[in-house]
Formats: sequence, C-alpha cells, structure tokens
Amino acid sequence: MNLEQFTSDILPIKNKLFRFAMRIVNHAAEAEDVVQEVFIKLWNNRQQMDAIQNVEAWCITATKNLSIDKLRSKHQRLAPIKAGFDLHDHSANPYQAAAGKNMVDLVKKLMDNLPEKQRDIMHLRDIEGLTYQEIADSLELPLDQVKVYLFRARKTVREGLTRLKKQELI
Amino acid sequence: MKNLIEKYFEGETTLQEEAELRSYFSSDDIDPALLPYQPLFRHLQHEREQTVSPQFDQKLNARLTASPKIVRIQNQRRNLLRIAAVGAVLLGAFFFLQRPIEPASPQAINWEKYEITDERAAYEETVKALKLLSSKLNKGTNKTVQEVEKIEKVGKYFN
Repeated sequence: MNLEQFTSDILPIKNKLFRFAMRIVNHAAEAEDVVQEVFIKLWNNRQQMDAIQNVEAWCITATKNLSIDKLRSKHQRLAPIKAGFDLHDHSANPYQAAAGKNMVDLVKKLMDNLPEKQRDIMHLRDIEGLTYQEIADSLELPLDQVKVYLFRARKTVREGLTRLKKQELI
Repeated sequence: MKNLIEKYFEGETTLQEEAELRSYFSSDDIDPALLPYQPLFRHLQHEREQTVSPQFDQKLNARLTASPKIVRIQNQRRNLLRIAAVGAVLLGAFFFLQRPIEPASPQAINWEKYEITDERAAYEETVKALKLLSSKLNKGTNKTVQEVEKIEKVGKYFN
C-alpha cells in the first residue's frame, strides 16, 4: 500500500471512525487523536494488511480499543454529555426543550445512556449504515447477538421517547 | 410509514428502508402520530453529518511521511542487536573449546580404605555419634526451656 492508495481507500472512513470514537471519548480533539493513531498503526503495519479481509472492520476495532485506552488513561468518566452542550436545565424547562435542537440532544442522551454494546451497535447501524455482518466483524460478536442487541437498543430508545412524550418534552 | 417504523423497532428494516425513514423525518410534512419519533431520526441524520476538523488530513500526512524514518532507525537498532548476539555466541563457543576436556566420570571412591576394623575404635565412633545426636536433641529442649522462661517473665505482668 502506498500513500496514494492509503489516501484514496482508507482516508475516506476518517469521519466514520471519528464519530465512533466520539461516542466513546466524548471529546472532539481526543477522538481525532484516536483516529490519527489508528491510521498510523495501519500505515506502519501496511505490509501485513493484505492478509486482513476487511480493513474497515479492523479500523473500527482499533478505534474502539484505542478510544477505551484513551478514556482509561485519562481517568475520564464516560460522561453522556457532549462538551459544549449544556443539558442540565432540560427537565427544569420544558419550553426550552421544545426547541428543535434540544429534542435531538435528548435523543442523543438516550442513546449515550444505553449499555456499551447496544450503544456501539446502534451507532454503527443507524448512524454509519453498516450491515449486520460488518458490525459483527468490527465488534467481534456473533451475528445473532448483533441483531438481539440492536433490537434491545432500539426498544430502549423507543421507551425513552414515549417517556419524554408523556413528560411533554417532545 | 407507520409499518416501516414498526419494522424498524422490530429490527427488521433494511439499510435502504432506514435511509427512507431518515429522509421522511427530515422533511416537515410528517404524520402527527409519528411526530414523537422525529427527534430520533433527526438525531441520527445530524450525527451522520459530523466530520473531523479541516486540519485532520494535513496533520495525518505529516505524521505518515515522518514515520518511515522511525521504522528504519528501529530496524538498524535491531540489526545491531543481532550482530551483538552472534558475536556473543561465537565468543562463548571459543572459550568453551579452549577449556581442557575433563575426564567424563571421576573415579569411584574406595570406601574400603575408611572401613573401621578394630572393635574398640568402632565403639568409640558409635559413642561419638550418639553424643552428637544427644547434644542436638538437648539443644532443642534447652531452647524450649529458655522460651518458656521468657513467657513466664512476661506472664507475670498479666496476672
């Protein structure tokens, strides 16, 4: 693999990896660092890369592992609140919640609060548009489990939406 | 669309159908009954549009083009280590071959030389051995007596 191939074949998945890292580290600059590290790791091992069938899945796995390492090394709490958005006064102020942006933030919060596997799977499916097989390869899980976790994740989010609706927040 | 929503929550939609859902909810013309689901699909659409910062490629490129140097230095260091290891093995082999080769098996000891034949001498040897044994046994007893005395001394303060 030369730099040209790398730029044309691998680089385009940068945003996908960035969003996935963001979901774990919750910090834009750190998520970018993670993606940089993944690409450098890939580049340094490019001789062995031909043996890997699905480079994208490899990258997603590496992104997940490095993100978790980053989180651990920083002793950061997995805060569901994205830096730059203040979500604290939502429940205090339903009127404000009625504004479009905040409704979306409430949903983000619902997704962020899912158990780790469900969150990762729902992210890869509903945001990145991966097939079940691709998700299974990336997260090293059996195909059936991917489907079960996705079903549970969506169910939990739906229940959350119904609850918000009852509270008239959306 | 309602059926599609149900299918989505059952986990049975295709990627194509999921795209249809997102595009439906990004419009403003939505069935009021489906309105509670709008924030979800808008969020999903919004997240899809998040990208890395514009400096990302430049930063990466700088690091990628810099990295081969590091790899080469590491390789050189590894080669040096290899040469040093081969040298050490050769040196070891040289000294090993220099050493005179000792007889493979030392001669068996002739115990007969030390055998006691005189009756008196045998008796004395036995007494010596028993004395040694008894002194070792007494050592243990004495030690116990000493320790018990110590405990008695301390015990006084407890009574």
